[in-house]
Amino acid sequence: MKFPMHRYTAGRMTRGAPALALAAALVLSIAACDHLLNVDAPSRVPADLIEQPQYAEVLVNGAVSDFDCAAGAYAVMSGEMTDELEDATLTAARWVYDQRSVLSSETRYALNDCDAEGVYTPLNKARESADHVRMLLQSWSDADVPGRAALMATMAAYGAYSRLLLGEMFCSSVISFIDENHNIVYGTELTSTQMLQSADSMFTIAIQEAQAASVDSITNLALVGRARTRLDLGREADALADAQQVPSDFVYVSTASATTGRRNNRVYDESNPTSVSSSVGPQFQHATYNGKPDPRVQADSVGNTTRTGVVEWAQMKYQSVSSPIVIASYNEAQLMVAEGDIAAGNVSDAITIIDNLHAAVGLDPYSGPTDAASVMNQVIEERSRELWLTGARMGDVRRYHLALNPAPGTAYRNGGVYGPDGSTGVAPGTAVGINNDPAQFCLKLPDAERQANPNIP
Amino acid sequence: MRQVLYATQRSPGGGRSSPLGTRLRALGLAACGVALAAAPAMAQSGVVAGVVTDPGQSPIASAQVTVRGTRLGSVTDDAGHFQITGVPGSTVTLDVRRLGYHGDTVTVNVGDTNIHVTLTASAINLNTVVVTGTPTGAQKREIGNAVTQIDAARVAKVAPIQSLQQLINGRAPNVVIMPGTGEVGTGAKIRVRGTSSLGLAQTPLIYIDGVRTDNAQATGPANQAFGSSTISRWNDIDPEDIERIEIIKGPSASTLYGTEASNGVVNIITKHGAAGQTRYSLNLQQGTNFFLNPDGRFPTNYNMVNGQLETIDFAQLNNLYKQHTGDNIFNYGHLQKFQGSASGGTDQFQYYVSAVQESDRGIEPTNSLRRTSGRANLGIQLNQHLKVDANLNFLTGKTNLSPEAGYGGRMWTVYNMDPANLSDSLSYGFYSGMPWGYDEEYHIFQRINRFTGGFHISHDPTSWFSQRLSIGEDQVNTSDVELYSRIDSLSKWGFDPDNLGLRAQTNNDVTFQTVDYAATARVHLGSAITAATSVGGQYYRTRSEPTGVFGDVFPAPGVTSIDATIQDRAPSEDVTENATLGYYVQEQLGWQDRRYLTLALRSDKNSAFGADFGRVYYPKASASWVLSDEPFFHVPVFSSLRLRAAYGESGEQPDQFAATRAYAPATGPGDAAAVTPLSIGNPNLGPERGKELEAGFDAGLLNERVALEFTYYNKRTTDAILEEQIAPSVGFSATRFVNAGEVQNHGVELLARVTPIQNSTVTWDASFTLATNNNKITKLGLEGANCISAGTYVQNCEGFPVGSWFLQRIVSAQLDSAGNAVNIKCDSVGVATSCANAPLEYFGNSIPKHEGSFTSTVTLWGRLRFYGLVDFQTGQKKLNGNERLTCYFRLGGECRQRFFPQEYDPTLIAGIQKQMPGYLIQSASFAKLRELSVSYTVPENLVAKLGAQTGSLTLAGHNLHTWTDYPGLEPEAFFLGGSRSGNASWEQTAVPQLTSFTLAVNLTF
Repeated sequence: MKFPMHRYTAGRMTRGAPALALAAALVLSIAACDHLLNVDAPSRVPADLIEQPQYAEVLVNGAVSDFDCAAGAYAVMSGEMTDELEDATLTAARWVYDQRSVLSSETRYALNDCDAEGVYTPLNKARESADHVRMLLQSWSDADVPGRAALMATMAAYGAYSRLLLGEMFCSSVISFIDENHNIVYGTELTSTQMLQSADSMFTIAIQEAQAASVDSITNLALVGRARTRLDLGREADALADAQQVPSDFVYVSTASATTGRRNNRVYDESNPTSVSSSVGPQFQHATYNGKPDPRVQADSVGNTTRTGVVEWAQMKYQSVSSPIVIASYNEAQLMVAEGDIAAGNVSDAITIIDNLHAAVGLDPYSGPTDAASVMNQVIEERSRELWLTGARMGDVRRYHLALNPAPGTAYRNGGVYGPDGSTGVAPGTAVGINNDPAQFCLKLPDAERQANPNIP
Repeated sequence: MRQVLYATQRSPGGGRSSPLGTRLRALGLAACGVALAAAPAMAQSGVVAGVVTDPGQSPIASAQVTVRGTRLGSVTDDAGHFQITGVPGSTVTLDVRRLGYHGDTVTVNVGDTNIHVTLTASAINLNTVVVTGTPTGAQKREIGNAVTQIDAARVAKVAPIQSLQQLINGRAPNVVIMPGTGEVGTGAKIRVRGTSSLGLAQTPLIYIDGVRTDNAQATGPANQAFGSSTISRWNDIDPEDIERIEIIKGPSASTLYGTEASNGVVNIITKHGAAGQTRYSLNLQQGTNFFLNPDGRFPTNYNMVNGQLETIDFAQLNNLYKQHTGDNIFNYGHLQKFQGSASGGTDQFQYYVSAVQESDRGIEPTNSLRRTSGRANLGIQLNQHLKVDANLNFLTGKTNLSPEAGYGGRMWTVYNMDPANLSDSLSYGFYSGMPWGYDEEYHIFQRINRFTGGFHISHDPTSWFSQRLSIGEDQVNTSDVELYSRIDSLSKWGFDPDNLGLRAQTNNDVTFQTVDYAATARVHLGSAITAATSVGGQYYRTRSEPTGVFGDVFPAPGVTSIDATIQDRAPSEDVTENATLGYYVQEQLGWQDRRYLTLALRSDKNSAFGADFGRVYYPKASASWVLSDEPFFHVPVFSSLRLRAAYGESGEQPDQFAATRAYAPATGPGDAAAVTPLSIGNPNLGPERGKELEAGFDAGLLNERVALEFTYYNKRTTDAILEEQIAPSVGFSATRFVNAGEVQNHGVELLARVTPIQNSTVTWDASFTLATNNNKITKLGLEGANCISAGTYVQNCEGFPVGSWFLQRIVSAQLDSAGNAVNIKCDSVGVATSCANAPLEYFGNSIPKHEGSFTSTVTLWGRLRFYGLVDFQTGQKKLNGNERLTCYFRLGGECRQRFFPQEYDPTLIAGIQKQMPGYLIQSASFAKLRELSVSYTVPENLVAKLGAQTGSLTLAGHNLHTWTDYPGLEPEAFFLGGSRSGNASWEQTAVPQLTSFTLAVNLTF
């Protein structure tokens, strides 16, 4: 079969011309209708639309919620890597954290979001959110944004806290950002010390701006944060000076909510009486002082042993997905003061602080030896309880060179052995460089960062 | 052209009418009465009618009979009959065409109702018209590229087909079907000519009767771990409604389809009615499916029990389960299908209407499919130059899926069976929950309502000009549900916390809209040259509106509504929308109907292109030379020979919103409004550009007893869209799309058909296909990076295939006296080194390098057919996730290597003990006896007792045997979706491809 073909003739052309013209008109009219390409994006917010002064508060809220979510994941994963929690899941994906044998190729800690146990990406998102919003605020005027100075101080404090957590958990990390032209500016690899130094600088900015704006809560938040940073950096006297400025009623929390999963208290999500993915570590299952249960460390057995052999204990510190997590407080500041006191030789002042903390929760006063080392150990113990499941333990294990139980080399219940702890690692303040000490107790710079960042060989 | 040689005495549509047949006709006429009444009256000039058969007098169904120079035509029914009324004049020329046969042309007298046309089989029919995107299509001889055609109606006669993907499998070279699981109601991924993209979906476009339709291949509720869904929208269409499938494989042929078409285009042409008496067809299928050889697929697991090494295997486990429950772990699933159709009409109005009811069950109680669909294809000839066609299809159904592949479920608890649990009165040796516990606890299902409709206006105002306007929509409404019942008693069987209840539901409205206008003018330019000029414009719009709800923990047993959940309630919505607007112009020149040259240019804009990216242009050129029609060609062995070559470009659009820097709405402190960084965007982002050159020949030899189709293709994807890993330190999402890479696919495709025996007693047809694919990333285009991660253990590296396995390779190890691997060394560019510092190495690619099939059909006495299909895929490697469970993670029962390391290669033991999974990357080459059937055409005098004209019985088996060295459960299975899908082939505790036997009865009235 062949299609009919005809020679051009005037008659035939005349008869076909209107149709041909119609065809051309149709094609051209379709081609000219570019507005047909407009599409809806109701689930996304274009950056150009939201990065406007009138949305400054929304942007600040976003940066804060990014930190809240990251801090929750940090509390869980640092808990698993230390002795606060042990992994009770039945599949192997998270065991390496519990086992303290995380490879840099592991993607969970590197790339997962905060509601899926990620830490590196969420902390960087929180840091960059705070830095980026701060950059936007700087480009706007006070007339554009009422309370701009307070918002800038807030963002500086949150950016600094993200840096602090990065410095405490990671052997090395990076600060990259998106500039005002929306280009990516990649950073270089920073040691823990360098990251903590960056945190220190940001806290200083936050303190200055918050004091100028008379925002006491942010001032105190930044003072506690800078004190913690300076302890990590081995600057006890400077830490003491900051911590002593914190008023007795100060508590600053990372908020949580039942509204969305991302806003949940992550620790509660992972460990509660009806679901135990992270079980309370044995050291914290029966925390007492002089035989009295320590109300700061509450855990209950749920009466179940997993098939991997974990006796499930649920934390009871957080009672719901809405429970806030304290990220800075007078109590923490006091423990840092105590640490400074001991370093300065004022052991009795440190004991007083311990006793005050005990009294606040109905425990007996300190009754142990009063030599500096013993009291310092008690301060560390107090920190482990006062700051339990808040994300402080990771830094403590590193800073105090703490030995964890089970010890490195001990057989892990699901195969393999436990990895290094603080006693075998390198403390913050020690330059670790790119070739990290394999025995160091910290998370390696993820391969995902190393492979994607052109500034890292 | 010739005159009619023979005329039957039987009137078309004749045969003794039965009460059933009468009722069916009455029903059909009543159904169509309204439309008939609406059809405009046309002059009834005359009738031509007759029958089309093969040389053995077997009727040929679905042959197209058209009156030359008019739009009048008909399609033969299953008895080969046709009838055309309203034929003008005294004599007319009929063109009779059928895929797989030589076309014929006869001149007949109007009024002749005893025409007999005999078509002879032809493997190479260059006059077959194929869909090309232009209004009238084109003859194969005119186009320079290969188009694979699948004669669905013919396949259905020899092997009952359950799905579209089953229909394509093994019948189209280089169209690789990769099923994720054997559960009923699930589907496969399809790759055409390899993997072209590094970061985008590789899914070919689907057009059903000219309307673009939903082509999602891994959708529905996740019933596998890692978020993997296993339902394919491809299988929504009933194979019985398909007349033929045409597959355009790459940019060299798909240019006119533009952006989105570089992965190929699948055109599905459904059955249409033709003028004549109403024909009724009934297709009844009953069958069963089952798990073939579970004893040989599940391993023997080991574990220490009270200081003694104990074992357990599937037979032991099944016996124990049977003792306690009276049931097998895996059972026989019932397959059932009822399909009926009616077709016919007048010169003014033609119709094909059908209905199908399908009810299938899998090997697990929780896996089933129930589906009902109806189709109405209507054609109205408004006048001699204008025709309107409407193609309407509606589907409703529900698919219940069993959890598998790491989600839990029977496959999971069986594969990890543990001898340590034999003494546990709650476990009976199963690893986790009891099988019945999974059945009661987990309810994973999808409900669907789908409407696909298209209206096509064909207008031939003059003999040289044709135009067509198609407007269509595919509306897919699905509800995906994961429901965990609250069953407190399951706690002691280890189902907590799932047994407290959960409901996750996503309702998704997906819409595909098509507006397609095309026009062609055909003229002679001198005595030898013909020219066909085509222009067209298309507008495609897709929108997906998934709205989800989630809630955890039901307060009491029996409560399953979402508003009853008491924890973690969360709504979600993620609307995506995409629009493409494009047009093309094409010029086709022919010289003496044997040399053809086609040139075309298409231009598109797409809503997903970056703000700084403009319009994209795709050129095309092809040439075809029917050498055997040249006067100088005198090679007796060749009955036909055509040389062809084509070059073309098309594109693949980026994901919607990939170009946009955006935030996601979020909730801030105090539940205040907030936003969080979502995507960093890329304003320069444009489409991938596929550039393909193909060349080959079609040859008929030995008087068409042997046919060969050979094609070499070389496809290059430039501006390949990479999901560039953004350093997490940037703070936005971890990836963004960039145009950077280049991917090359090249290979050959061979299709050979032979008819070694053809006489009135025996006909033996056989065909063989072989396709190769060499895939390589020629350029990654990322500064300072030769490789980027493409998933767990999978990398995209320059010089290697897309989605290759990359792991550390252990090259030496020793076992100490306790069986522990020591002195383990890994390869580092040929040097054994400490594994701590060893680089990742290439372990193989995950897509087959070679695939093909062999089919054989033996027909005896024109009535008894024996048919078989063996297909194979080689060169691909899978990660055997099953062994990972028992050797690597040791969840329950463990692999033998754990207890008898001295029996094995120390490097293997080192990999197991040190959790270095290179040893899990294993060859997954296989060959399968995919289909085997026997069918019998019942003598007319017997079926006449039922009031039928024709009848046939077919007994068919699917997936009857697998030849493979792959030690896992199923060399074909893998995570179809989710984070472990993509190009990787990761096989883990999925239901294998089920063996089935089906008995089909076909009757026409």
